[in-house]
Amino acid sequence: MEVKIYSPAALPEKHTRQPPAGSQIVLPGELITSEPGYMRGHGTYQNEEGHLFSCVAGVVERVNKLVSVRPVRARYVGDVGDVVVGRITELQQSKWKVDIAGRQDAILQLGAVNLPGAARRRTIEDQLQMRSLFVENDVIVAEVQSFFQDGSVALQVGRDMGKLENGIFVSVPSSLIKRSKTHFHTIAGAVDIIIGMNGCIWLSASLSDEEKEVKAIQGKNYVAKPVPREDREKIARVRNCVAALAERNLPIHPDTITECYRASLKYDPKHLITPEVIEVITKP
Amino acid sequence: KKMLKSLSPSEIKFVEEGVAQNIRVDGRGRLDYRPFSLETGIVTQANGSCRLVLEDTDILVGIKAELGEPDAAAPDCGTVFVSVECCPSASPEFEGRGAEDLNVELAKFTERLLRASGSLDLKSLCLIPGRQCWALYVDVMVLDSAGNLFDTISIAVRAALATTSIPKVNVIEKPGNQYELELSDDPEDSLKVDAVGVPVAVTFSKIGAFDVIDATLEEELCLSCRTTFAVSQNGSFSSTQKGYGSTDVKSLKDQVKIARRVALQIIERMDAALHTEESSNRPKIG
Repeated sequence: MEVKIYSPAALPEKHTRQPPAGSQIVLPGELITSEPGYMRGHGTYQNEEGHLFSCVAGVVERVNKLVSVRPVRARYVGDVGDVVVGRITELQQSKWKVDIAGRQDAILQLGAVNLPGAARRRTIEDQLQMRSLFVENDVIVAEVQSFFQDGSVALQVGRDMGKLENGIFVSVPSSLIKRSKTHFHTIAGAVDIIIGMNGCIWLSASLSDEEKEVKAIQGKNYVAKPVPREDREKIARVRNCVAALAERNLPIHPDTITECYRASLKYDPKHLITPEVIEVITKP
Repeated sequence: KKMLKSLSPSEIKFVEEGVAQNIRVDGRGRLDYRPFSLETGIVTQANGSCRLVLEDTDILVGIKAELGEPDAAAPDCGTVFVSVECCPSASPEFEGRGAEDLNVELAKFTERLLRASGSLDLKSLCLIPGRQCWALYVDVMVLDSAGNLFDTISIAVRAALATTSIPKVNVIEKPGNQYELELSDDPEDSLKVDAVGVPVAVTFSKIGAFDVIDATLEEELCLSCRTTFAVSQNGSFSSTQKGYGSTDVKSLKDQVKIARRVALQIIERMDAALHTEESSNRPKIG
Protein backbone atom coordinates (compact mmCIF):
# COMPACT_ATOMS: atom_id res chain seq x y z
CA MET A 1 0.00 0.00 0.00
CA GLU A 2 1.20 3.45 -0.77
CA VAL A 3 2.17 5.81 1.98
CA LYS A 4 -0.43 8.58 2.12
CA ILE A 5 0.73 11.92 3.45
CA TYR A 6 -1.77 14.75 3.74
CA SER A 7 -1.32 18.44 4.07
CA PRO A 8 -4.11 19.69 6.37
CA ALA A 9 -5.04 22.09 3.57
CA ALA A 10 -5.77 19.10 1.35
CA LEU A 11 -7.79 16.95 3.78
CA PRO A 12 -11.31 16.12 2.54
CA GLU A 13 -14.07 18.43 3.68
CA LYS A 14 -15.94 16.87 6.64
CA HIS A 15 -19.71 17.00 6.34
CA THR A 16 -21.21 18.77 9.35
CA ARG A 17 -24.43 18.08 11.18
CA GLN A 18 -26.71 20.72 12.66
CA PRO A 19 -27.60 20.47 16.35
CA PRO A 20 -31.34 19.90 17.01
CA ALA A 21 -33.37 23.12 17.01
CA GLY A 22 -33.61 24.88 20.34
CA SER A 23 -30.57 23.19 21.87
CA GLN A 24 -28.06 25.41 23.60
CA ILE A 25 -24.43 24.40 23.30
CA VAL A 26 -22.10 25.94 25.86
CA LEU A 27 -18.40 26.06 26.59
CA PRO A 28 -16.74 26.07 30.03
CA GLY A 29 -17.16 29.51 31.60
CA GLU A 30 -20.04 30.51 29.36
CA LEU A 31 -23.06 32.23 30.89
CA ILE A 32 -26.20 30.10 30.75
CA THR A 33 -28.66 32.47 32.37
CA SER A 34 -28.53 35.51 34.62
CA GLU A 35 -32.15 35.15 35.72
CA PRO A 36 -32.57 34.24 39.39
CA GLY A 37 -34.54 31.29 40.66
CA TYR A 38 -32.81 28.47 38.79
CA MET A 39 -31.24 25.55 40.62
CA ARG A 40 -27.78 24.51 39.52
CA GLY A 41 -27.35 20.91 38.39
CA HIS A 42 -24.33 18.95 37.21
CA GLY A 43 -21.83 20.81 35.09
CA THR A 44 -22.81 24.29 36.29
CA TYR A 45 -21.69 26.79 38.92
CA GLN A 46 -22.86 30.18 40.19
CA ASN A 47 -20.90 33.37 40.71
CA GLU A 48 -21.47 35.86 43.57
CA GLU A 49 -24.38 37.49 41.76
CA GLY A 50 -26.14 34.17 41.34
CA HIS A 51 -25.64 33.97 37.57
CA LEU A 52 -25.41 30.43 36.24
CA PHE A 53 -22.31 29.41 34.27
CA SER A 54 -21.31 26.18 32.63
CA CYS A 55 -18.13 24.46 33.72
CA VAL A 56 -18.03 21.83 30.97
CA ALA A 57 -18.46 21.83 27.21
CA GLY A 58 -21.86 20.38 26.40
CA VAL A 59 -25.58 20.82 25.90
CA VAL A 60 -27.82 22.63 28.38
CA GLU A 61 -30.63 20.55 29.84
CA ARG A 62 -33.53 22.12 31.70
CA VAL A 63 -36.00 20.19 33.84
CA ASN A 64 -38.43 22.68 35.39
CA LYS A 65 -36.13 24.90 37.43
CA LEU A 66 -33.14 22.59 37.40
CA VAL A 67 -30.46 23.56 34.89
CA SER A 68 -27.62 21.18 34.14
CA VAL A 69 -25.09 20.72 31.35
CA ARG A 70 -24.57 17.30 29.80
CA PRO A 71 -20.90 17.15 28.80
CA VAL A 72 -19.88 16.08 25.29
CA ARG A 73 -17.05 13.90 26.54
CA ALA A 74 -16.87 12.55 30.07
CA ARG A 75 -15.49 9.49 31.78
CA TYR A 76 -17.86 6.56 32.06
CA VAL A 77 -19.89 6.77 35.26
CA GLY A 78 -22.19 3.78 34.97
CA ASP A 79 -25.64 2.62 35.94
CA VAL A 80 -26.77 -0.57 37.63
CA GLY A 81 -27.37 -3.20 34.99
CA ASP A 82 -24.93 -1.82 32.40
CA VAL A 83 -22.93 -4.39 30.48
CA VAL A 84 -19.27 -3.35 30.39
CA VAL A 85 -16.06 -4.69 28.91
CA GLY A 86 -12.97 -4.23 31.06
CA ARG A 87 -9.40 -5.32 31.65
CA ILE A 88 -8.17 -6.93 34.88
CA THR A 89 -5.45 -4.76 36.40
CA GLU A 90 -4.83 -6.35 39.78
CA LEU A 91 -5.60 -9.38 41.91
CA GLN A 92 -6.34 -8.78 45.56
CA GLN A 93 -7.59 -11.03 48.30
CA SER A 94 -10.89 -12.48 47.02
CA LYS A 95 -11.42 -9.68 44.52
CA TRP A 96 -10.13 -8.36 41.19
CA LYS A 97 -9.63 -4.74 40.16
CA VAL A 98 -10.92 -4.05 36.68
CA ASP A 99 -10.15 -1.04 34.48
CA ILE A 100 -13.44 0.01 32.85
CA ALA A 101 -12.23 3.40 31.57
CA GLY A 102 -14.06 5.17 34.37
CA ARG A 103 -12.75 7.54 37.01
CA GLN A 104 -11.71 4.62 39.17
CA ASP A 105 -11.04 0.94 38.67
CA ALA A 106 -14.09 -1.25 39.25
CA ILE A 107 -14.12 -4.11 41.75
CA LEU A 108 -15.15 -7.65 40.93
CA GLN A 109 -15.63 -9.68 44.09
CA LEU A 110 -14.92 -13.40 44.02
CA GLY A 111 -18.44 -14.09 45.22
CA ALA A 112 -19.88 -12.13 42.30
CA VAL A 113 -18.46 -14.50 39.72
CA ASN A 114 -20.98 -17.07 38.59
CA LEU A 115 -18.99 -20.29 38.64
CA PRO A 116 -20.28 -23.25 36.67
CA GLY A 117 -22.21 -25.61 38.88
CA ALA A 118 -24.63 -24.76 41.65
CA ALA A 119 -24.20 -21.52 43.58
CA ARG A 120 -22.15 -22.10 46.68
CA ARG A 121 -20.22 -20.15 49.29
CA ARG A 122 -16.68 -19.24 48.39
CA THR A 123 -14.02 -21.09 50.35
CA ILE A 124 -10.33 -20.59 51.00
CA GLU A 125 -9.55 -22.95 48.10
CA ASP A 126 -11.48 -20.65 45.79
CA GLN A 127 -9.44 -17.67 46.97
CA LEU A 128 -6.23 -19.47 46.17
CA GLN A 129 -7.60 -20.54 42.78
CA MET A 130 -8.50 -17.03 41.64
CA ARG A 131 -5.78 -17.09 39.02
CA SER A 132 -7.45 -20.00 37.29
CA LEU A 133 -10.40 -17.72 36.60
CA PHE A 134 -8.99 -14.30 35.66
CA VAL A 135 -5.42 -13.04 35.59
CA GLU A 136 -3.92 -9.56 35.06
CA ASN A 137 -4.52 -8.12 31.55
CA ASP A 138 -7.41 -10.50 30.81
CA VAL A 139 -10.37 -8.85 29.11
CA ILE A 140 -13.75 -9.64 30.64
CA VAL A 141 -17.38 -8.77 30.02
CA ALA A 142 -19.37 -8.10 33.17
CA GLU A 143 -22.40 -6.27 34.48
CA VAL A 144 -22.60 -3.37 36.93
CA GLN A 145 -24.08 -4.80 40.10
CA SER A 146 -23.99 -1.77 42.39
CA PHE A 147 -21.84 1.11 43.58
CA PHE A 148 -19.56 1.52 46.55
CA GLN A 149 -19.67 4.53 48.85
CA ASP A 150 -16.87 6.26 46.95
CA GLY A 151 -18.67 5.91 43.62
CA SER A 152 -16.60 3.02 42.28
CA VAL A 153 -18.42 0.28 40.46
CA ALA A 154 -19.05 -3.23 41.77
CA LEU A 155 -19.19 -5.73 38.93
CA GLN A 156 -20.74 -9.14 38.65
CA VAL A 157 -20.08 -11.84 36.09
CA GLY A 158 -23.24 -13.68 35.18
CA ARG A 159 -23.94 -16.57 32.86
CA ASP A 160 -22.73 -15.88 29.26
CA MET A 161 -20.17 -13.46 30.65
CA GLY A 162 -16.57 -13.79 31.69
CA LYS A 163 -13.20 -13.92 30.01
CA LEU A 164 -13.04 -12.81 26.38
CA GLU A 165 -10.58 -14.49 24.06
CA ASN A 166 -9.70 -14.81 20.36
CA GLY A 167 -10.66 -11.32 19.42
CA ILE A 168 -9.69 -7.68 19.55
CA PHE A 169 -10.37 -4.90 22.00
CA VAL A 170 -11.44 -1.48 20.70
CA SER A 171 -12.01 1.63 22.76
CA VAL A 172 -14.36 4.50 21.83
CA PRO A 173 -15.76 7.41 23.86
CA SER A 174 -18.50 6.13 26.18
CA SER A 175 -20.80 9.03 25.24
CA LEU A 176 -21.33 7.42 21.82
CA ILE A 177 -22.92 4.28 23.29
CA LYS A 178 -26.66 4.27 23.99
CA ARG A 179 -28.35 1.77 26.26
CA SER A 180 -30.18 -0.97 24.40
CA LYS A 181 -31.91 -4.27 25.17
CA THR A 182 -28.85 -6.36 24.51
CA HIS A 183 -25.20 -5.53 24.04
CA PHE A 184 -24.23 -8.77 22.34
CA HIS A 185 -24.71 -8.57 18.56
CA THR A 186 -23.51 -10.15 15.34
CA ILE A 187 -22.61 -7.93 12.39
CA ALA A 188 -23.06 -9.26 8.86
CA GLY A 189 -23.56 -12.74 10.29
CA ALA A 190 -19.84 -13.18 10.80
CA VAL A 191 -18.46 -10.86 13.47
CA ASP A 192 -19.57 -11.03 17.10
CA ILE A 193 -19.50 -7.68 18.81
CA ILE A 194 -19.96 -6.84 22.48
CA ILE A 195 -20.63 -3.12 22.91
CA GLY A 196 -19.86 -2.19 26.51
CA MET A 197 -21.68 0.84 27.88
CA ASN A 198 -18.27 2.13 28.98
CA GLY A 199 -17.14 2.51 25.36
CA CYS A 200 -15.02 -0.66 25.40
CA ILE A 201 -15.88 -3.02 22.57
CA TRP A 202 -14.89 -6.62 21.89
CA LEU A 203 -14.84 -8.04 18.37
CA SER A 204 -14.41 -11.70 17.56
CA ALA A 205 -15.27 -14.17 14.82
CA SER A 206 -18.70 -15.77 15.17
CA LEU A 207 -18.63 -19.46 15.92
CA SER A 208 -20.74 -21.86 13.89
CA ASP A 209 -23.43 -23.79 15.78
CA GLU A 210 -21.33 -26.97 15.80
CA GLU A 211 -18.35 -25.09 17.15
CA LYS A 212 -20.50 -23.54 19.89
CA GLU A 213 -21.62 -27.04 20.92
CA VAL A 214 -18.04 -28.29 21.05
CA LYS A 215 -17.12 -25.30 23.20
CA ALA A 216 -20.03 -25.91 25.58
CA ILE A 217 -19.09 -29.57 25.99
CA GLN A 218 -15.35 -29.07 26.44
CA GLY A 219 -15.74 -26.06 28.72
CA LYS A 220 -12.39 -25.18 30.26
CA ASN A 221 -10.46 -27.55 28.00
CA TYR A 222 -11.73 -25.89 24.84
CA VAL A 223 -8.99 -24.59 22.57
CA ALA A 224 -10.26 -22.29 19.83
CA LYS A 225 -9.36 -22.97 16.21
CA PRO A 226 -7.11 -20.30 14.65
CA VAL A 227 -9.19 -17.61 12.95
CA PRO A 228 -9.06 -17.93 9.13
CA ARG A 229 -8.17 -15.05 6.84
CA GLU A 230 -11.69 -14.26 5.56
CA ASP A 231 -12.95 -13.87 9.12
CA ARG A 232 -10.00 -11.64 9.98
CA GLU A 233 -10.84 -9.40 7.05
CA LYS A 234 -14.41 -9.07 8.28
CA ILE A 235 -13.26 -8.32 11.82
CA ALA A 236 -10.85 -5.69 10.46
CA ARG A 237 -13.68 -4.18 8.44
CA VAL A 238 -15.98 -3.92 11.47
CA ARG A 239 -13.12 -2.57 13.57
CA ASN A 240 -12.43 0.15 11.01
CA CYS A 241 -16.14 1.01 10.72
CA VAL A 242 -16.35 1.43 14.49
CA ALA A 243 -13.21 3.59 14.44
CA ALA A 244 -14.67 5.70 11.61
CA LEU A 245 -17.94 6.24 13.49
CA ALA A 246 -16.01 7.20 16.63
CA GLU A 247 -13.81 9.56 14.64
CA ARG A 248 -16.93 11.36 13.33
CA ASN A 249 -18.67 11.30 16.73
CA LEU A 250 -21.57 9.21 15.51
CA PRO A 251 -23.49 6.82 17.79
CA ILE A 252 -22.08 3.31 17.95
CA HIS A 253 -24.98 0.93 17.62
CA PRO A 254 -25.43 -2.30 15.63
CA ASP A 255 -27.64 -0.44 13.13
CA THR A 256 -25.10 2.33 12.48
CA ILE A 257 -22.26 -0.19 12.33
CA THR A 258 -24.18 -2.38 9.86
CA GLU A 259 -24.99 0.62 7.66
CA CYS A 260 -21.37 1.70 7.71
CA TYR A 261 -20.29 -1.89 7.00
CA ARG A 262 -22.50 -2.08 3.90
CA ALA A 263 -21.14 1.23 2.62
CA SER A 264 -17.62 -0.04 3.18
CA LEU A 265 -17.93 -3.23 1.15
CA LYS A 266 -16.65 -1.61 -2.05
CA TYR A 267 -13.34 -0.82 -0.33
CA ASP A 268 -10.53 -3.02 0.91
CA PRO A 269 -10.61 -3.15 4.74
CA LYS A 270 -7.21 -1.47 4.94
CA HIS A 271 -8.42 1.54 2.94
CA LEU A 272 -11.12 2.26 5.52
CA ILE A 273 -8.58 4.15 7.63
CA THR A 274 -7.99 6.91 5.08
CA PRO A 275 -9.83 10.24 5.59
CA GLU A 276 -11.61 10.21 2.19
CA VAL A 277 -13.08 6.77 2.73
CA ILE A 278 -14.08 7.53 6.33
CA GLU A 279 -16.01 10.48 4.96
CA VAL A 280 -17.83 8.30 2.41
CA ILE A 281 -18.78 5.44 4.72
CA THR A 282 -20.05 7.70 7.50
CA LYS A 283 -22.30 9.84 5.31
CA PRO A 284 -25.87 9.68 6.64
CA LYS B 1 -8.80 5.79 25.93
CA LYS B 2 -5.35 5.03 27.31
CA MET B 3 -5.70 1.71 29.04
CA LEU B 4 -2.82 -0.18 27.56
CA LYS B 5 0.04 -1.38 29.65
CA SER B 6 -0.06 -4.93 28.39
CA LEU B 7 -2.28 -7.29 26.42
CA SER B 8 -3.72 -10.63 27.48
CA PRO B 9 -1.97 -13.75 26.06
CA SER B 10 -5.05 -14.44 23.93
CA GLU B 11 -4.92 -10.97 22.32
CA ILE B 12 -1.18 -11.33 21.67
CA LYS B 13 -1.79 -14.69 19.98
CA PHE B 14 -4.54 -13.12 17.83
CA VAL B 15 -2.19 -10.34 16.71
CA GLU B 16 0.66 -12.80 15.98
CA GLU B 17 -1.57 -15.08 13.91
CA GLY B 18 -2.91 -12.11 11.96
CA VAL B 19 0.59 -10.83 11.23
CA ALA B 20 1.60 -14.32 10.02
CA GLN B 21 -1.34 -14.27 7.58
CA ASN B 22 -0.42 -10.73 6.46
CA ILE B 23 -3.64 -9.21 7.75
CA ARG B 24 -3.26 -7.00 10.78
CA VAL B 25 -5.99 -5.91 13.18
CA ASP B 26 -6.89 -2.88 11.05
CA GLY B 27 -6.72 -4.83 7.78
CA ARG B 28 -3.25 -3.56 6.80
CA GLY B 29 -0.57 -5.82 5.41
CA ARG B 30 2.75 -6.10 7.22
CA LEU B 31 4.34 -3.36 5.11
CA ASP B 32 1.41 -0.92 4.97
CA TYR B 33 1.67 2.53 6.52
CA ARG B 34 -1.18 4.40 8.17
CA PRO B 35 -2.09 7.75 6.53
CA PHE B 36 -0.83 10.85 8.30
CA SER B 37 -0.82 14.64 7.96
CA LEU B 38 2.06 17.11 8.07
CA GLU B 39 1.68 20.78 8.83
CA THR B 40 4.63 23.16 8.98
CA GLY B 41 5.18 26.74 10.10
CA ILE B 42 2.61 26.57 12.89
CA VAL B 43 4.84 27.86 15.69
CA THR B 44 5.64 31.35 14.42
CA GLN B 45 8.01 32.08 17.32
CA ALA B 46 10.26 29.27 16.10
CA ASN B 47 12.53 29.35 13.08
CA GLY B 48 10.86 26.18 11.87
CA SER B 49 8.13 23.86 13.10
CA CYS B 50 6.05 20.88 12.11
CA ARG B 51 3.10 18.95 13.43
CA LEU B 52 2.58 15.34 12.40
CA VAL B 53 -0.70 13.57 13.16
CA LEU B 54 -0.91 9.81 12.49
CA GLU B 55 -4.08 8.33 13.97
CA ASP B 56 -3.58 9.17 17.64
CA THR B 57 0.16 9.88 17.41
CA ASP B 58 0.62 13.65 17.63
CA ILE B 59 4.17 15.03 17.29
CA LEU B 60 5.09 18.71 17.51
CA VAL B 61 8.59 19.84 16.50
CA GLY B 62 9.97 23.34 17.08
CA ILE B 63 13.35 24.51 15.79
CA LYS B 64 15.20 27.52 17.17
CA ALA B 65 18.41 28.87 15.67
CA GLU B 66 20.75 30.68 18.03
CA LEU B 67 24.27 31.98 17.79
CA GLY B 68 26.78 29.67 19.40
CA GLU B 69 30.31 28.34 19.32
CA PRO B 70 31.27 25.44 17.07
CA ASP B 71 32.53 22.19 18.49
CA ALA B 72 36.36 22.11 18.80
CA ALA B 73 36.41 18.90 16.73
CA ALA B 74 34.50 20.56 13.86
CA PRO B 75 35.34 24.26 13.83
CA ASP B 76 33.83 24.90 10.40
CA CYS B 77 30.45 23.40 11.18
CA GLY B 78 27.33 24.53 12.95
CA THR B 79 25.86 22.50 15.81
CA VAL B 80 22.55 20.74 16.32
CA PHE B 81 20.96 19.56 19.56
CA VAL B 82 17.83 17.46 19.90
CA SER B 83 15.56 17.06 22.90
CA VAL B 84 12.48 14.88 23.04
CA GLU B 85 9.72 15.07 25.60
CA CYS B 86 6.98 12.45 25.72
CA CYS B 87 4.12 14.17 27.50
CA PRO B 88 2.88 12.28 30.56
CA SER B 89 -0.66 12.63 29.26
CA ALA B 90 0.21 10.69 26.10
CA SER B 91 0.37 7.24 27.66
CA PRO B 92 0.21 5.64 31.12
CA GLU B 93 3.83 4.51 30.82
CA PHE B 94 4.97 8.12 30.37
CA GLU B 95 3.71 9.20 33.77
CA GLY B 96 6.25 10.38 36.31
CA ARG B 97 9.75 9.34 35.28
CA GLY B 98 8.52 6.54 33.04
CA ALA B 99 9.37 8.37 29.85
CA GLU B 100 12.93 9.34 30.82
CA ASP B 101 14.68 6.43 29.13
CA LEU B 102 12.49 6.69 26.06
CA ASN B 103 13.07 10.45 25.80
CA VAL B 104 16.83 9.94 25.90
CA GLU B 105 16.78 7.07 23.38
CA LEU B 106 14.61 9.03 20.92
CA ALA B 107 16.67 12.21 21.33
CA LYS B 108 20.02 10.46 20.92
CA PHE B 109 18.81 8.57 17.87
CA THR B 110 17.42 11.69 16.20
CA GLU B 111 20.60 13.61 16.99
CA ARG B 112 22.73 10.89 15.36
CA LEU B 113 20.43 11.07 12.34
CA LEU B 114 21.04 14.79 11.94
CA ARG B 115 24.77 14.78 12.69
CA ALA B 116 25.60 11.93 10.29
CA SER B 117 27.61 12.97 7.28
CA GLY B 118 25.49 13.78 4.25
CA SER B 119 22.52 14.63 6.45
CA LEU B 120 22.15 18.28 7.49
CA ASP B 121 24.54 20.64 5.76
CA LEU B 122 26.23 21.82 8.94
CA LYS B 123 29.02 23.59 7.07
CA SER B 124 26.52 26.13 5.77
CA LEU B 125 25.71 27.04 9.38
CA CYS B 126 29.25 28.21 10.10
CA LEU B 127 29.74 31.97 10.46
CA ILE B 128 33.30 32.47 11.71
CA PRO B 129 35.31 29.21 11.74
CA GLY B 130 36.27 28.26 15.26
CA ARG B 131 34.45 31.24 16.75
CA GLN B 132 30.78 31.58 15.81
CA CYS B 133 28.19 29.40 14.17
CA TRP B 134 24.47 28.77 14.16
CA ALA B 135 23.29 26.27 16.77
CA LEU B 136 20.01 24.56 15.91
CA TYR B 137 17.90 23.47 18.85
CA VAL B 138 15.37 20.85 17.80
CA ASP B 139 12.64 20.33 20.40
CA VAL B 140 10.25 17.45 19.90
CA MET B 141 7.08 17.02 21.91
CA VAL B 142 5.12 13.79 21.75
CA LEU B 143 1.64 15.03 22.61
CA ASP B 144 -0.07 11.68 22.12
CA SER B 145 1.12 8.25 21.03
CA ALA B 146 -0.40 5.50 18.90
CA GLY B 147 2.91 3.75 18.37
CA ASN B 148 5.74 4.22 15.87
CA LEU B 149 7.54 7.11 17.54
CA PHE B 150 11.01 6.74 15.95
CA ASP B 151 9.72 7.00 12.40
CA THR B 152 7.19 9.77 12.97
CA ILE B 153 9.70 11.89 14.90
CA SER B 154 12.28 11.57 12.12
CA ILE B 155 9.67 12.55 9.50
CA ALA B 156 8.40 15.52 11.52
CA VAL B 157 11.94 16.73 12.25
CA ARG B 158 12.89 16.48 8.56
CA ALA B 159 9.76 18.44 7.57
CA ALA B 160 10.44 21.10 10.20
CA LEU B 161 14.07 21.48 9.08
CA ALA B 162 13.04 21.68 5.43
CA THR B 163 10.91 24.70 6.27
CA THR B 164 13.31 26.34 8.75
CA SER B 165 14.62 29.75 7.84
CA ILE B 166 17.55 31.50 9.50
CA PRO B 167 18.24 35.23 9.20
CA LYS B 168 21.10 36.21 6.88
CA VAL B 169 24.23 37.29 8.70
CA ASN B 170 26.81 39.76 7.45
CA VAL B 171 30.26 39.15 8.96
CA ILE B 172 32.22 42.40 9.21
CA GLU B 173 35.94 42.08 9.92
CA LYS B 174 37.30 44.57 12.40
CA PRO B 175 40.90 45.43 13.31
CA GLY B 176 42.59 43.34 16.00
CA ASN B 177 41.03 40.03 14.85
CA GLN B 178 37.61 41.20 15.98
CA TYR B 179 34.41 40.47 14.15
CA GLU B 180 31.01 42.06 14.13
CA LEU B 181 27.91 40.17 13.13
CA GLU B 182 25.14 42.06 11.41
CA LEU B 183 21.81 40.28 11.39
CA SER B 184 19.37 41.35 8.75
CA ASP B 185 16.18 42.97 10.13
CA ASP B 186 14.10 41.99 7.16
CA PRO B 187 12.28 38.70 7.88
CA GLU B 188 12.21 37.96 4.17
CA ASP B 189 15.99 38.15 4.02
CA SER B 190 16.69 34.65 5.26
CA LEU B 191 18.30 31.38 4.34
CA LYS B 192 16.49 28.08 4.15
CA VAL B 193 18.26 25.25 5.92
CA ASP B 194 19.36 22.54 3.51
CA ALA B 195 17.54 19.47 4.78
CA VAL B 196 17.43 17.45 1.55
CA GLY B 197 19.93 14.92 2.90
CA VAL B 198 18.21 14.40 6.25
CA PRO B 199 17.26 10.72 6.53
CA VAL B 200 13.94 9.20 7.51
CA ALA B 201 13.72 6.30 9.96
CA VAL B 202 11.91 3.03 9.25
CA THR B 203 11.29 0.79 12.26
CA PHE B 204 10.65 -2.93 12.06
CA SER B 205 8.79 -4.64 14.88
CA LYS B 206 9.20 -8.39 14.97
CA ILE B 207 5.90 -10.07 15.90
CA GLY B 208 6.17 -13.84 15.95
CA ALA B 209 8.34 -14.74 12.94
CA PHE B 210 7.51 -11.66 10.85
CA ASP B 211 8.33 -7.97 10.78
CA VAL B 212 5.78 -5.17 10.52
CA ILE B 213 6.37 -1.50 9.91
CA ASP B 214 4.34 1.35 11.43
CA ALA B 215 3.29 -0.68 14.44
CA THR B 216 0.33 0.42 16.55
CA LEU B 217 0.55 0.64 20.35
CA GLU B 218 -1.07 -2.80 20.63
CA GLU B 219 1.39 -4.30 18.15
CA GLU B 220 4.33 -2.74 19.99
CA LEU B 221 3.19 -4.69 23.06
CA CYS B 222 3.53 -7.95 21.06
CA LEU B 223 6.96 -7.42 19.58
CA SER B 224 10.01 -9.52 20.33
CA CYS B 225 12.54 -7.21 18.68
CA ARG B 226 12.65 -3.69 17.28
CA THR B 227 15.18 -2.52 14.67
CA THR B 228 15.30 0.92 13.07
CA PHE B 229 17.09 2.02 9.90
CA ALA B 230 17.64 5.61 8.79
CA VAL B 231 17.72 6.08 4.99
CA SER B 232 18.26 9.33 3.13
CA GLN B 233 16.97 10.53 -0.22
CA ASN B 234 19.89 9.15 -2.22
CA GLY B 235 19.18 5.68 -0.81
CA SER B 236 22.14 5.54 1.58
CA PHE B 237 21.91 4.32 5.16
CA SER B 238 23.10 6.70 7.83
CA SER B 239 22.34 4.88 11.06
CA THR B 240 20.65 1.93 12.65
CA GLN B 241 19.31 1.27 16.08
CA LYS B 242 18.33 -1.93 17.71
CA GLY B 243 15.95 -1.65 20.61
CA TYR B 244 14.53 -4.35 22.76
CA GLY B 245 15.13 -7.97 21.77
CA SER B 246 17.37 -9.93 19.39
CA THR B 247 17.17 -10.61 15.67
CA ASP B 248 18.97 -12.68 13.00
CA VAL B 249 21.06 -11.79 9.97
CA LYS B 250 18.53 -12.96 7.35
CA SER B 251 15.89 -10.66 8.88
CA LEU B 252 18.33 -7.74 8.81
CA LYS B 253 19.08 -8.32 5.12
CA ASP B 254 15.38 -8.32 4.23
CA GLN B 255 14.72 -5.31 6.42
CA VAL B 256 17.47 -3.30 4.73
CA LYS B 257 15.84 -3.76 1.30
CA ILE B 258 12.39 -2.87 2.59
CA ALA B 259 13.64 0.11 4.62
CA ARG B 260 15.14 1.68 1.50
CA ARG B 261 11.94 1.23 -0.51
CA VAL B 262 9.67 2.59 2.22
CA ALA B 263 11.92 5.51 3.20
CA LEU B 264 12.31 6.69 -0.39
CA GLN B 265 8.55 6.61 -0.87
CA ILE B 266 7.99 8.55 2.34
CA ILE B 267 10.59 11.16 1.35
CA GLU B 268 9.05 11.57 -2.11
CA ARG B 269 5.49 11.91 -0.76
CA MET B 270 6.55 14.17 2.06
CA ASP B 271 8.37 16.57 -0.25
CA ALA B 272 5.27 16.63 -2.46
CA ALA B 273 3.00 17.39 0.53
CA LEU B 274 5.33 20.19 1.71
CA HIS B 275 5.35 21.63 -1.78
CA THR B 276 1.52 21.61 -1.88
CA GLU B 277 1.44 23.34 1.48
CA GLU B 278 3.89 26.01 0.41
CA SER B 279 1.90 26.85 -2.69
CA SER B 280 -1.46 26.85 -0.92
CA ASN B 281 -0.74 30.08 1.01
CA ARG B 282 -2.84 29.07 3.99
CA PRO B 283 -2.87 31.74 6.73
CA LYS B 284 -0.53 30.80 9.58
CA ILE B 285 -1.93 30.65 13.10
CA GLY B 286 -0.12 31.50 16.31
